[in-house]
Amino acid sequence: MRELIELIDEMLRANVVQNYAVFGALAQMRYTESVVTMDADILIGVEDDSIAVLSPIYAFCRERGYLPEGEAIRVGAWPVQFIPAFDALSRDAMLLAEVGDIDGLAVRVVRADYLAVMALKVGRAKDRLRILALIESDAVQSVEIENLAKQFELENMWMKFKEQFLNEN
Amino acid sequence: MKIDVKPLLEKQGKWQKSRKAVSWGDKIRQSEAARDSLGSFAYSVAKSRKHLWSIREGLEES
Repeated sequence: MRELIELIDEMLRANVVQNYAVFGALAQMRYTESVVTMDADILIGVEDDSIAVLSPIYAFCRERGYLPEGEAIRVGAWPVQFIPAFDALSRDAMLLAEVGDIDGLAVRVVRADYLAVMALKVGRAKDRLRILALIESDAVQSVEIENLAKQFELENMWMKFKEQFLNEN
Repeated sequence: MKIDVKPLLEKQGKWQKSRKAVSWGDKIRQSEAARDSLGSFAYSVAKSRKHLWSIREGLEES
């Protein structure tokens, strides 16, 4: 993980990316118990909004010996997916990220409430489990998820989730 | 369908609070270890299935 954090810091210094935040399962583990995941998801902010947005990142990694592996780039033990912040929700999640600590290194990480609402939006079984895990670890309260869901017009999805899994209605 | 997950969440929450001392870095290492062990298991299963498939094909040909 140290290798990945150092690589991202290098990308920031070289202005290949302008911002980033860890999200997905890797971010979840900051707030809950450990979960198994196949890859590391990194939200990135880049100036370029063209379809070739990832090209400079792939080139930067390749120059340093980090090669593509499927849809990811292998960095040490982790296949890493660099995902441009693609909508208002992911942009806010990245901009408002907190700074966490992995073995003494500062790492930008998506807040628990944003992780929950991003999971709500994607809506797979594992995303629903993520929301439940975040709530039960007290990383986020359901009212905070509700408020954020309203802000991003996901209130209906939240009400459905709440009715199905939380029995709060 | 309504699923009453509250009792399970409460039980798991108590268990989880006792694990909060585990650092983010340690949890990531736990995840890596679990992933790698699952990976080897999946590989063994795939290998066994391939082996069984070749036996089946052999039997069908004979």
